[in-house]
Amino acid sequence: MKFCTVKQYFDDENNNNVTNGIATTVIPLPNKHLKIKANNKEMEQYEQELLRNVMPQELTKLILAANYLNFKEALDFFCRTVANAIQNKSVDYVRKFFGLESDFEPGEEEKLCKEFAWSFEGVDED
Amino acid sequence: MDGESSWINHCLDETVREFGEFDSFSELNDEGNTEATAVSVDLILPDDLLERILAYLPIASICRAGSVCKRWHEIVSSDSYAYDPTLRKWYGFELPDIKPDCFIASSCGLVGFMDNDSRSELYVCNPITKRSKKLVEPPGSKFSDYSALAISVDRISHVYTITVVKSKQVPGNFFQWDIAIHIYDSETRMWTTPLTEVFGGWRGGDESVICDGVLYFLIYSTGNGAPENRHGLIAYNLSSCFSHSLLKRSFIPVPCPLTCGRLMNLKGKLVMVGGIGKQDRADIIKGIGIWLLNGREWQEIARMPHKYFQGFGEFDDVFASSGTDDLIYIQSYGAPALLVFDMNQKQWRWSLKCPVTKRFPLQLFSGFCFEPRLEIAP
Repeated sequence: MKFCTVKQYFDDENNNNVTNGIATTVIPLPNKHLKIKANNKEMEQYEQELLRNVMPQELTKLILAANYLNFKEALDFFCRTVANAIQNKSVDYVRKFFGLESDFEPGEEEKLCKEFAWSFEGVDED
Repeated sequence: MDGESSWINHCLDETVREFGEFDSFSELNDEGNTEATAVSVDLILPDDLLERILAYLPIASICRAGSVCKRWHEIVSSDSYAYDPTLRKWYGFELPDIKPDCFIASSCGLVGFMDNDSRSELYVCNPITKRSKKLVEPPGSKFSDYSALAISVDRISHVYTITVVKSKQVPGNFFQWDIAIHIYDSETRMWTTPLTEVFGGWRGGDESVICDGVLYFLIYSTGNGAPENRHGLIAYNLSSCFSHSLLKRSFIPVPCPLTCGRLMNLKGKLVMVGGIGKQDRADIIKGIGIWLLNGREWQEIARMPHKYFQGFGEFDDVFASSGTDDLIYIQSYGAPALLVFDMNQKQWRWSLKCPVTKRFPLQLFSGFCFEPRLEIAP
């Protein structure tokens, strides 16, 4: 039963894995899902709203929360949303999105860029 | 199902009462932030979740993701990775080890190349990961007159099978041809030759494909048969036990006079794209048709509308065609224009203009289809 973890979450007072704020985003999702399951357009709009109003870090938290709550639909949805946000974007954009820094040795990154030069064509401007 | 949804609604109502109405995400965000400072949350996504995100990306984005940082590079390059890309752009690919004018066959992420000279040098590679492997030479005569190459990859085990159908004219006899089927198994890394036979009145060519464990190859009449008998199809089950009478057992006539035929595997079924020849002059192309093989019967799927036929400009009686999944690509050897037929929607359309340009009059173009997969290795 997919909402076992949800119930468990509410029973478990000292839950550090999911902040209250995140839970309130994740939990209304099944309600929305049930209402608009067949309606792709609405889900797309919901996704756009999410991307506009929620910071990348929050999206990461949403993914972790959905994973912890064992909520597959929400997990797939948030992962897809993040993928759509970084699709066709530059490497620097992706780094900023996830708050990452390059830890390659000097020259290593250039080597990769050369090896996969074809994949760097036509990338969106930052 | 009903029980579940009512439990959910009950649970949600309770939540809403507890936290108040949260329709606006910006409100939620503020709440989230203040909560976050009080409670520590590990923001680093574990590998499996990162893989989930990357799995939704088109292949170019996945390859670039490998340049983000070392950890991402590890994940992108790891063998256990799988994805489903939608490729909608032309890319300038550099194919490893490929010589111009060689035989090409592809299946599920792997591409097989066979040189056109000796027809004995075989390479298998994954064009995306750039890993390639040279195979031990197939047995049989080194310089056959015709060779047909096909490859089939098992999606689950990643074991692949390669077949080479060699045809050699019996010395001094135009009518009779030595046909041999050689099969390579990537697990045993060995070639076997389950069948050799002399065909009377027919020879093999260079068109073959494996669908669902059956090797199909086109044969060509060497006698003075009627135009509709110029081409024929052989369907050889790769797990067969018989080693002779192939022509008698496995021959399937083609649906009409063909100028040329191209075979492809679309979702496990054999599809043939054929140039339709005139009744009295079968070497003149008057149209292009697409047929699906159901058992031993051909089902006509589509004919290319005249406007597209004319859109190629000069159209030889032979052309290149390949396909995968639901899409068939047709291309004239004389130009890099690519026509696409969608099997699902039964629609024809031109693909995006290819960046390759024709530099001199006799330059020939040919392409092949392959399914980009990161996790399959030669």
